[in-house]
Amino acid sequence: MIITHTRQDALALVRIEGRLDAAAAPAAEKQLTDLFAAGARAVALDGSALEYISSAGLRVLLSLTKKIKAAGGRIALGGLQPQVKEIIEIAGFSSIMPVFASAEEARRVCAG
Amino acid sequence: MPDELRLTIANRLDELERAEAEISAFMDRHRVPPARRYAASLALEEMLSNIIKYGYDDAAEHAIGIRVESGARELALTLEDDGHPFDPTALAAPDTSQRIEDRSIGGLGIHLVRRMTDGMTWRREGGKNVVRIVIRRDG
Repeated sequence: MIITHTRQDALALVRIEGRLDAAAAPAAEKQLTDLFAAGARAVALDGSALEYISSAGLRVLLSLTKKIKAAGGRIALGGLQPQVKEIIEIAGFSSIMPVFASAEEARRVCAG
Repeated sequence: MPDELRLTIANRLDELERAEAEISAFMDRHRVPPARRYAASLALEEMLSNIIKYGYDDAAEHAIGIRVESGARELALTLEDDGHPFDPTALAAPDTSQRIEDRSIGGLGIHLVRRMTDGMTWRREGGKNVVRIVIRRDG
């Protein structure tokens, strides 16, 4: 799993690549918590290179979403591969954070 | 080429990656389609991490048996652990319509596995939980 991001003030574009599984979750949690601590309040997640997510990975996204919403920020997800999208839907996450067909749409919504 | 993979791991989370690597290589050899690989990988991770985190009443090392069988129409994943009796097929589905503030992730992993695979059975046999998960190749 590799997480890269670009920041512009409070807006962060975060790209998650590979597998967000139980093994990757602690490192992902730390990186995203650091990003939040550094002031990111509008987070657009680019899921186009995310190949796999399990409940451990969902837990990481839920934890970030709770922090951002509590701080009055925005979070959106875009560009998901079909199986990851299915998991997000079964888990009911599409009611927690908006899911867009592309990462660019997620970015636009977060940029407000 | 053998149609069956058997391995044993210890009840530690750092064993998950080894199990995933072995099963991934097995699925490569058996040309499992990508969507079905996802389901198998998820079933393995969620069920094993559940056993490792919540299955035991002591701090001792335990062995967990894993068997994957590749048939013409389906893959079958069988897990055996000597933890306390736990029937994952009896677990109620979590309420995924709750507000985010109220949401926890307990039970979500098993729910995902039940939705992404084509059948799960549980039996208690010889002091062990035996869970068998079927994944249809064309599912």
